[in-house]
Amino acid sequence: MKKIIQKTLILAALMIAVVFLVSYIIIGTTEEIMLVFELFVLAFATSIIQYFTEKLACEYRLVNVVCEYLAISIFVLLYGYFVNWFMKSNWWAAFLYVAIVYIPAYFLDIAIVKKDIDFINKKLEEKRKSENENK
Amino acid sequence: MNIIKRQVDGKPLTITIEYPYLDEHTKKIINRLEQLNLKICGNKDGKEICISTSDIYYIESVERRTYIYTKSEIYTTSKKLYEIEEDLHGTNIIRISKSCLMNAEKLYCVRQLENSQLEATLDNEERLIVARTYLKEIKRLIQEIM
Repeated sequence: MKKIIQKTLILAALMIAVVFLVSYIIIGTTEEIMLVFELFVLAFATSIIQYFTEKLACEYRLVNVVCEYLAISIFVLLYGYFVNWFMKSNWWAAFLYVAIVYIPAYFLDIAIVKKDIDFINKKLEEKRKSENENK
Repeated sequence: MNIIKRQVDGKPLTITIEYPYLDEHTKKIINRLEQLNLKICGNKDGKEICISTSDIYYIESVERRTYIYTKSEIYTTSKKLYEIEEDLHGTNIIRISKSCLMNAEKLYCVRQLENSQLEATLDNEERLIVARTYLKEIKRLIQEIM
């Protein structure tokens, strides 16, 4: 199921990129087309920030998540100003949007880690059982 | 595939592989055994001793020194952790954090601590901190070797 969802999202991203690229070639720049490309640039930059924050990660998960959240929020804020997404009065919107993405992602990550740990422990238990039977 | 096991007193562990022809599956088994037979050299009390990878529990880097831990002994080595990681590529010894490599064969269980840190317990009850980024790799290896 996870692979199907991953493939669906990648395919959707490709479809959006192709449709808007063709529109850009045919009709030129519109606000909607620019927004899509700006989001792609933001996604690329966010991935780079995540890559480097992972490299600098400490042992405490919550600290890592907060640092990553702050780094990405600040980047979104600056990028948002640059592409005119935010007014000076609603600068906090960057932190809100990123939080809306990060809070479910944090809990999803906890669930995935738990699932992986359960899988590893189950396999180790099976191994011990099989070793005991062979003795 | 037939597996014949027998206890022979007074002889070192010997594995004989008989095959009608050398196919990919057989090559994989031979490679796996050769990996298990890899040795790395460490120092203890001024003597250089070669340790089989199957005897290693974990390898840790502390303050620029690298230590090799077996069930009850600790050896030092002049090699850097990343060099050992490269030498042992393809074996059951994998990276679990910036400063530690662990033998997945010696893993007893993994658990998540209250502060969200991950902790691996080995067969000899040693406990190691696992970085979340390496959990997928541990899962993949466990899946492969079991």
